[in-house]
Parts: sequence; structure tokens; C-alpha cells
Amino acid sequence: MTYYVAPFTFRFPQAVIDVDAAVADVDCISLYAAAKLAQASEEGIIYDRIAAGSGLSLLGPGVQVGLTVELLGAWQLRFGSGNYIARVAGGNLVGGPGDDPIAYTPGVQTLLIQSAASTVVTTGGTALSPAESAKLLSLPSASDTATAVWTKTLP
Amino acid sequence: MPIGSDFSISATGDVRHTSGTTVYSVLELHAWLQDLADDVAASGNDLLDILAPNPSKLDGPRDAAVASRLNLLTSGSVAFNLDDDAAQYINFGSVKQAAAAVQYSGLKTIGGIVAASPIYVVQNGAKLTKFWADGHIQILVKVKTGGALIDSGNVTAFSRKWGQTYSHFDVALSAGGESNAALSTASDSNIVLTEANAAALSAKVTVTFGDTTLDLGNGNGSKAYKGTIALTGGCTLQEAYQYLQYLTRETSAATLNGIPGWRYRVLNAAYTEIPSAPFGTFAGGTFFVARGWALTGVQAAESTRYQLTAHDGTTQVPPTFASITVGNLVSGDRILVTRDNGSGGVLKDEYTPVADLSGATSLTVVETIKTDTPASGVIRIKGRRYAYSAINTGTKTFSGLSPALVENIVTADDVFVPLIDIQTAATSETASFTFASAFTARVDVRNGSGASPLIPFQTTLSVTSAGASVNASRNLDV
Repeated sequence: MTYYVAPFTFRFPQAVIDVDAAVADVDCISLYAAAKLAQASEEGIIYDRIAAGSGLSLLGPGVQVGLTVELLGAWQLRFGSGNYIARVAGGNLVGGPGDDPIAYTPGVQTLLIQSAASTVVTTGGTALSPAESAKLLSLPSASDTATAVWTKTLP
Repeated sequence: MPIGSDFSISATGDVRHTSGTTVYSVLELHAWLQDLADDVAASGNDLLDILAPNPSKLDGPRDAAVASRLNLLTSGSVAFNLDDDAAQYINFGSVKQAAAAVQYSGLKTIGGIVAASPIYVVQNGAKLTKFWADGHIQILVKVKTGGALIDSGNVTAFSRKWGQTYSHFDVALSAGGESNAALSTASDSNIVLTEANAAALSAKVTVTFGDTTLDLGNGNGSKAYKGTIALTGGCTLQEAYQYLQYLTRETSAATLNGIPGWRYRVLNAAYTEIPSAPFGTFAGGTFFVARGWALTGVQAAESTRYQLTAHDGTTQVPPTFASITVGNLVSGDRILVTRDNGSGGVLKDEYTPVADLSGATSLTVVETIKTDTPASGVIRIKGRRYAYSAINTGTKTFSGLSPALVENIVTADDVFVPLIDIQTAATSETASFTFASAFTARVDVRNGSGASPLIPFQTTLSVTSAGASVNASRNLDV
């Protein structure tokens, strides 16, 4: 019994989340979104919950507390085999059997990028209000300032 | 008063009742006749003396303690005889006359009955005209005339008074003497309506004779019955019972399958009768319907308060239906309700499968399929969800699997039947099933997508005959 949400394959009987081959970077938010879909799927509903998430509280416009994903029970994340450094970022990944959320894969060194006070900043959004954005864009550039200084006639 | 004061004897032997209400025994009749037969001369209206032929003789010993068998003799033109009226004042024995071409036999009712219970006697399908008072009777019944027995000499004594339990007893009177009919009646506390009110229930109770089938949903499948009692208009079981008793009381004018209600006894001659209530008894709030009758239209509140006996003699008890409801759902939620495995988990190894091959559309299991298993629904085989369209409890098989098995199945694989296993489009989901015994159910509600992903809701429920319900807690996930 498996459930696939790119790039993750949830193997329920084994309690393993396989990451697609050639994918070395896992984002915690994507991982948790996939886990939520998997545990609520037709295949996953008969199994215990996969993961619990916390965080993502809004700190201000476009800024949230970082996400912590706790893998429950025997669930672990497993990267494809090879010789590379895998990275889990975008939040904290914890839990798993013996508090080890990563299953061993020969040749793969996994880097868990953790933070005690991580934040998530939304890009390309509305970090500035339209008025602030207009005001900012109306400011002269450095070139404009330099030209203005150069051409300034002293009294 | 001496018997001679109440009877007369003609010169040709006609013994007739002339006055009085006293009932005399057969032996007293014989003694009186023999007493006259040795008189020097006849006197009054008793035209019998020593010059006349012998009027009577007893078959068997003369014993006042036992019923006598008297022969009224015929000699030439003198034929001693009783008429039907005179016979009403004679009892405790039998009388043959006209060279045994006519016979009156004794009938006596015995047993525990309500005081003054009215008793009627049915002979050859007709009630005998009553000449006796209510309560136990001891009478002579004409069982032979013209040299032929009337209905083989058989009669039936009935007591069917409104407000009392009924009783009847078949008696064979052809042998003469006196025979007993054992009757038993009692006050019926389940009869609370007046006869007029019971009669009005004809609008709510329909009795139909004829073959039919009925599946009570109790796991026994469809059963054959020989008639149907259909209830409508909110008719209660006790009302139905009263109406059916009304149809079969002594004064009933109803005709049931061609039989007058007052002598209707049983639906099929092969069935054991229920003398106290021909359509079935009512006790403790439960209607124990007589064999062969299907009962329909029972109100939900009384859905388990009756019992049938199918034509094949098997007792059919309606099942208790229970339901589990999960509420506070939104469209897209996935709900799973299963049996608990004893530690709060899903009971995944409910059944042991018989090995089966990919592509099969049925699956047999080792264990008996639980009686509370829906006739169709969802089955999880090796974790995979299949719909099944039928079960065969005899062969322990789930059939009509859809899709067909996508992989081979071995005996070690898990098989279980969820009570609810669906992605809902509604605000609640309910599973109704035949309740067999209490159990603990595990409930899961999950939704991992959309605008409101849900922290998985999980709980256990104690499921009783009253069912169970729970509302999912909707705590939003991050």
C-alpha cells in the first residue's frame, strides 16, 4: 500500500517516506503537505497518523514562525541511494523511531537544517503595502543621486 | 322432584320432558324406566307397566360412580326413545335407541376456567344451540342419527369470551359413555379495548391468507409464510393482538379463509394450535405470532417486540438495528469507522482469508461472517478498499468484489469490514447494521487538503443496541 505525492512515496506498511531519486533537497512544508494528503487518503486512512505539524503562526505580513514536522510512530524519511548530500530545510524535521527522522541510505549524508527560532518569509507577495511600494519606487536611484550631485552648481 | 314428575312415557315408548329444570343421570333414567316396568299397571302419563316390553338395558355394570351406557330398547311397535328436548335433561352417560340408529353421548368439560366462562360446542362446523348455563357443562350430545355418526361423532368444546384467553378441546363421542373436554381460560390483561373499539381496528389490521415470503434481516434470509398480518396507521402490536382475538371470539361474524372466526383455530393443519390465541399470544409486551403468519408494518418503536414462526417451523426474531453516526463533517472529509483492536487501533485482522488469486471477484474467509456485517458494503483486503455486493454466511464468502482482486491473497493477509469507509460529500455519515453484541468502534476523520486541513480526529465509541454517535472535532492543521 503506497501513496505518492511528488516527490514522496508513502509506504504505509513499512512506515517509510521515500524521496524520489535525484531529489536531494526536501522542504519541510512540502513534506508536511504531502503527509497530510497521504494520511487522509483511501490508502492511508486505515493507518495511524504519519506526522504532526506545528508552527506557521503569523508574525506579521508575510512572516510566519517556522514549521516543525514531527514524524510519528515508526515513520522515517528515506532518500534515494547514491553518493550525495541530502538536505532537509524549510523547517525542523523531528521524531521518528529513536528520534531519528531519517532512514539510513548507503552513501547519502543527510543534512538537517534546524533552527530553534526559524521563520518563514513569504516572497513575491505583499510584504509592502501598495502605498509603501509606490513610495519606495519613487525614491531616486544612486545613479540619479550621483548625477544630481555632479551637475549641482555651487553658489 | 322424582324423575317421573318431569317426564312422560307414551304407549309407543316416547320418553318426553314435560316440566322442571332438573337434569337427571342416565342411570336415574334407567332406574325409573325399570321401576315402571315392573308395575302392575301404568298410571298417569307414564304408560309403562309389566305388560310392556323391557324399556332399557345397560351396557356394562351398573355403577353410579361411572357414566352409564344405556340402550333404550325396541320391541315390535314400541320403541323407547328420547327426543332432543328430553335429552337436554339427561346427562352422565350415553343413550342409544332405535336399534342403535340414534345415539346421545355424554360431554363434560373440565379444567381451570374463569367462573361462568361461556362454553359452546361445535359439531360438524356448526354451533350447537345452547341449552346450558355458562360455566362447565355436562350434557348429552346427539352424535348419531339415522344410523350414521354426525361428523364421525366428533365435537369441539370452545370457550372464547372477550377479555379472557381462549380455549378449545376436541372430543370423540362415538364410543358412548361420557367424554371429557379439558378447557382452560384466564382473564386476559392484554385485552384493554371494548369490543367496539377492537372492531374499529379493522381499518388498521389486514389479514391475508396466501403464500408469501419475508426477510426480517436477521441473517436467516427470506422465509416462507402462509399468511400475512399487515399493520397500518400506527397500529400497535397490542392493538393487533386484540383485533385478532376479536376476530376469533365466540360472537365473531368474521370469516377467516372460509372459516367462521368463532371456530378458526390454525393457519395450517400441520401446525400446532395455540388454543388461547389462534393468531398468537401477547406476553410481556411482545407478540408471539402464531406459526405461518408474516407480520408487516410494525412500528419502529416496536420493531423488536414480536416473534414469528416461519412455515418451516423456525423461530424468526427480528433483528435489532443499530447505527453509528459521525457528524460535524465537511465535504471532502474521509471517514473510517472500524472495530477497535482492543488497544484503540483498527482491527485489521478481523478475518482470515482463504488464499485467492488476482482477478477473483469473491473472497472466502475462515471465520463465520459476523451477523452485524452489512449485506453489501466495503471490505478491506490487504489494506485495499473493495466494494462487495453480497455475502453468503453459509460459505463465508464476500462476493461481487469491485474492483476484482488486484493481487494474490494469502492467508496471512489482513481482511476486515469497515462500518464506514468513505470520503463524504455530506455533513454526517451513518452506518446502520444488525446489532449482534456490543463492541468498541474506532473512528477516524481526516482531511489533508483544501482550505481547511484537519488535524486527524480519532476516537473510540462504545456501540450498544442503541447505536452510537460522535461529532468530529475540527481543529485546523498547519
